[in-house]
Amino acid sequence: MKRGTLLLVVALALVGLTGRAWAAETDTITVTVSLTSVVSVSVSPAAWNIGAISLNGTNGPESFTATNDGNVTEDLTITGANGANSWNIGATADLDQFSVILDEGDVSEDALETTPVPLTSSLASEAGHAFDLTYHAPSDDNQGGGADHSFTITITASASP
Amino acid sequence: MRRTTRIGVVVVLVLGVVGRLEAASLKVSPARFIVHNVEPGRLYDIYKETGVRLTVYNDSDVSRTWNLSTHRPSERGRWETGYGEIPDATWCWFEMNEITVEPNSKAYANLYMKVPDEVQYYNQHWVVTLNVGGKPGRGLALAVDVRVQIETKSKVGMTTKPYGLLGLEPSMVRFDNVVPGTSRTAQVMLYNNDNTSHTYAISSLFEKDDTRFNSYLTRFYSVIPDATWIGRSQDTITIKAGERAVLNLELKIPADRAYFDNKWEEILLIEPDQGRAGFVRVQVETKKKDNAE
Repeated sequence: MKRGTLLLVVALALVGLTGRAWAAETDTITVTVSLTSVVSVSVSPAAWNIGAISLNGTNGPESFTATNDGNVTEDLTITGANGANSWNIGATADLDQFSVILDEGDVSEDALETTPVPLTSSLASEAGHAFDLTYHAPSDDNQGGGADHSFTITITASASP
Repeated sequence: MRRTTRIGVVVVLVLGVVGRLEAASLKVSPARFIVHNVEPGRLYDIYKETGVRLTVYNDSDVSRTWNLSTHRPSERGRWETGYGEIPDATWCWFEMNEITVEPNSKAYANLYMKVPDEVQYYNQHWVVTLNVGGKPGRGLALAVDVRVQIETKSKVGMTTKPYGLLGLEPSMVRFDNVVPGTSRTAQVMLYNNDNTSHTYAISSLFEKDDTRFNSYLTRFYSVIPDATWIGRSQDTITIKAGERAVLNLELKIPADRAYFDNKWEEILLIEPDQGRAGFVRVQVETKKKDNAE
């Protein structure tokens, strides 16, 4: 190959290498993370004791405050759960069905479900979010009196996207 | 009469029992992270390969046990614009399904990941949500969701369409050793894998007011100083169902010595008229000053 031709080939190869974009082709994964970032949530008060209640009975509203104790802006959701001994959570009280209504003041009321319901979004670090919960006992039941129908309410925090 | 008997004896213990309070706080770190360059078919021990794992703190005086689980993000709440949902959350899993944290202590949860070995899973941007939550039972429960942004390996020369209603090839464009004052070009193929025609709007994610830069930037990279330095052949592209189109990019960095030796990123958001957006990650690394002319 003549020297001039060889130089041209080398030059074209260099243009090819430097002139085009390429996708990453390394074999290892990398992680982008802030190890100091923390998601943290607390709720006060930590208990709501409804105790014995009659059918069609109501308890509440009970006031709570969820606080962003982390160092990132957070979204909070609230999730209900079915109760023990065949009482299910629902939008309204019904046969063997109770409801828990979330009231955030100027925001519309929502019935808790077994899937997350937004509580608040973009809550700043160290900020609190107040909300009320009201429990409505079933209108009737087939499970018999004296049973424990306790259930769980979960407050979930995540970093705001 | 039977009903009257029941009145007053139905016991509902809702949010905890006095003297038996469930956790009143929960703290987990990190809040989120991005895993780059995941290769389909490979099993990853995230901690072993990157040193990253979840830390669960217990600031109370009693031992706590938490459940660990993985979810598609739509089950949990909002997630980062441009990312799709991981097709199957079980592609990520914890070493154990629960974690016990001793009083005033912390414990660690290791994460594993394996995307099926299929070509269609290259060039993907997904989110999986890791949940640290209370064990089922009665009372108040707290939980934390940590989102993991998974970016599978960027690839050109795909032998099949990339997965998803909007497919991209490649998913990341990299301009390396760029000399300010010169220009570079690149192409991205957009696949409309939907069964209807779509018009896609292309824009800079970092120019949107509500964007949290840190949710997208790769480690050691900063936002490109001027989004117009990356020119686009079109700001909108209409692609018929099942077809594809090319988006041409041209990088032009002004001739200025200050622009040598930088690592910048741009996120080109591709928003369909209906459905979730995707994005192309563009990385620019300019020539080091030591080598500058």
